[in-house]
Amino acid sequence: MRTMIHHMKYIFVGLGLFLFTGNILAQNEWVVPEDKVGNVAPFEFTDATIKTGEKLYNTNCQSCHGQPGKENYIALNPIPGDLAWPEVQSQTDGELFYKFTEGRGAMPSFKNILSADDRWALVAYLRTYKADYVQPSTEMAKAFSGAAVLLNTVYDAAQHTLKVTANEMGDAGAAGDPAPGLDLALFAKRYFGDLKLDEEKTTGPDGSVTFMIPTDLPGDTAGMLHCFVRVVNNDDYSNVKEEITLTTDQKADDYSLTEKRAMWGTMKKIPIWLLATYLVVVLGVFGTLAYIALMVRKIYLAGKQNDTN
Amino acid sequence: MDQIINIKDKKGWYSKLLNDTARPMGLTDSHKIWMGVLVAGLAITLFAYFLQLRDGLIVTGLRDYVSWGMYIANFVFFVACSLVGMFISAVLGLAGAKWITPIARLAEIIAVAFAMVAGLVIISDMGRPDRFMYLFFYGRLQSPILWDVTVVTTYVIISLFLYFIPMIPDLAIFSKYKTMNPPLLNKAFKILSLNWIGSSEQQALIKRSVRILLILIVPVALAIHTVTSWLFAATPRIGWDSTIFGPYFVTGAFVAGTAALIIGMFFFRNNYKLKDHITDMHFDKMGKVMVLVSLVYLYFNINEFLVPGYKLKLHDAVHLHALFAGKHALLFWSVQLGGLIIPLVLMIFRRFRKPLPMLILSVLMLVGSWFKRYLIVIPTQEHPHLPIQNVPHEYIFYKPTLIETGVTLASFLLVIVIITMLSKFFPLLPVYEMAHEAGIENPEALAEELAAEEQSKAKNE
Ligand code: HEC
Repeated sequence: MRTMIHHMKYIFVGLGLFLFTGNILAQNEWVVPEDKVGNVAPFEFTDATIKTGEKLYNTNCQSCHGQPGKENYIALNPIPGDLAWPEVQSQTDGELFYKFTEGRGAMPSFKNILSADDRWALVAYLRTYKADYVQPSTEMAKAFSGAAVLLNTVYDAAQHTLKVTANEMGDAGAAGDPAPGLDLALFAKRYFGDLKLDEEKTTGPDGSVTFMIPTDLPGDTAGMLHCFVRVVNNDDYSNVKEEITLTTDQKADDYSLTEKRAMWGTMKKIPIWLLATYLVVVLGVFGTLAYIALMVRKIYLAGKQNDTN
Repeated sequence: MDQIINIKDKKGWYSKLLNDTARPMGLTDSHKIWMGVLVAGLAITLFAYFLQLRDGLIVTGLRDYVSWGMYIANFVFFVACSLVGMFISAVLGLAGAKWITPIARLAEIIAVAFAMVAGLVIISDMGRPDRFMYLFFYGRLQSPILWDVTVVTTYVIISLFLYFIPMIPDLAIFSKYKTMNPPLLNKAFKILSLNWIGSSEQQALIKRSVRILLILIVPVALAIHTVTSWLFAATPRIGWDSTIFGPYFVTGAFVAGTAALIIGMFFFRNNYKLKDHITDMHFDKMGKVMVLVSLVYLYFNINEFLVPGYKLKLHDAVHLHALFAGKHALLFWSVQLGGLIIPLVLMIFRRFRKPLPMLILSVLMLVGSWFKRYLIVIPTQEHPHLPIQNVPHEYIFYKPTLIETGVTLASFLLVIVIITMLSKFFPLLPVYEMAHEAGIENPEALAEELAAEEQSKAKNE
């Protein structure tokens, strides 16, 4: 019955779509800029890429899109849809890549969250739901046009600032000319994904930007904050990443919440007062019951005595 | 018993009491048929449990979101019904109400039966009952679940004591007064009467132990239902997260238990022909008691729903809407009106406190009580705090399955079996106590005298 209702829903939705004119459909259509449609991954998809993609999918996408092929996406407007659907799979790699890079409405942008390689890995994973998929030749990937970039960081612990300078890669890996116009973002590594600090900033003519480091952000148990800076506006550079470890005055509390006696602890870690209360009450009640049992025994003995008299 | 004035009348009344109590005891044909029906019912419903054991809880309607269903609602209901033992003997008894004497043992039987089966109901809710002992190996005393196990067990033990100890003199009386069928019963009576001869020492011992038990059972009974309510109230969930859940449950239990007792009174009065001992007066009094406990329960209901309903905090609103006007509205209003308010109002009038109207109203209240527990347990779980995602539709809403209903039915049959056995093989009326209250000094001796008289009469004929 339920599944029937479920199907009916689709029938109604289908009818609705049919009745409404293409006008509205056109509004809803998600147009990908022409120059992006033909984009392809710069590397070949392997089993390892697919695995990476699957992991990324489960942490970043499943909450809305559900498991591919199971149509268990959540009810949003517009619906996120099942990414195994033919209307999704018929799009080019470049179109898909563009859509989750940029996002739209309820569909978040993953430009800052995932590197370009990671986003391509997602494409690799999604394509496992397309039976006749053949990866377009990576040769078609746009040749890398710009020079490689070097990021250099200077941390001012007193001012809580981090200055990042971007330079084009010079000869033999030495820093060359400043690289202006790059969008940089700073992230702190946390247990559950990366935390963006401060705003995205664009490098000035000298190739540098300055990020403010929040003062109330705890580091690890030694007070160390593990961060990285990444180029976010240019996919070609999206793998360029500079890791830095900052010292903060904020050490993470390293005691475990299950170390002391607590209501949420194991039986061995039971609060003393609770154990004592329990034992006192239970022993009190069962002591009384034992006393009653003795009295019952006395009734028996009293009758016996009289019998023999 | 003011109506008994002279010795001769007393003797006649006592002889009738003994005969009326002895008559239904033992094996009779109708009893065998009744037991046959119960056992057949149990066989069918226990097969449902076998299916559940074999295939797991997937055969029930329980899923990730609603993981407490009919079983837990039924458990709460059973615990509630069992409170009647304490209510009648301790609350009314200690307050000095003498009229409760003839129905006190029945109340205790109902309490024992429901409390014992309540433990089994919990086991039926377990996906892996073979791991039951883990509760003791790995249980944490920080959890109200273990407190509940403790108090329910304690309550069963105290109730058994309170059932047995006042019965010791009765067993002695009947072992001498009449030969029971089967004869084994006579032997059992003799052994269980523990050499009772009615000496003043023995009388004092009984009096003292019963008194201690009656005092002890009050806090234990309050604890059993309060702790049961904490299984819910100790979680921060809408509809359960309430500071008055303890008294709300306890007062609800008095309503359910009283209704169960009135139904029992009606049944035994008619089937065991005890109209002269369980009288209209008892129904009238129980009706008044019921009005009192229902009013208190109604008061807690108003608090429980009006206060959150007035504030309508975001999540409370979703929950209350489902109860008041949404999915559960029909059941909710039927329970509140048909199972509480209407019977309560009718019982205010004397003419509804006659046996038959009392039976009908009590059945309504008992059924209402069961569904009330259902409404307490299930709807809350349909409104979790975190949004429900990526789950099949049938995981969100709960619908009990046939197998689940069968297993629940089994628990009811088991209760009836226990009540039948206890009421059939042991004296249902506390004749010793009733005789004492009627002013008979030595009920044991008088019983022997009556037995001798009857024997000689039989010889003469
Ligand atoms: C917060 C919910 C949410 C999350 C998380 C999410 N999406 Fe979406 N997604 C949507 C919605 C809503 C749409 C439809 C947007 C529209 O049509 O305007 C959508 C659309 C899409 C589309 C376009 C489908 C089409 O029909 O063209 C793709 C591709 C997509 N998402 C991929 C992803 C990937 C890959 C991830 C994870 C990296 C992801 N989404 C994470 C909500 C989400």
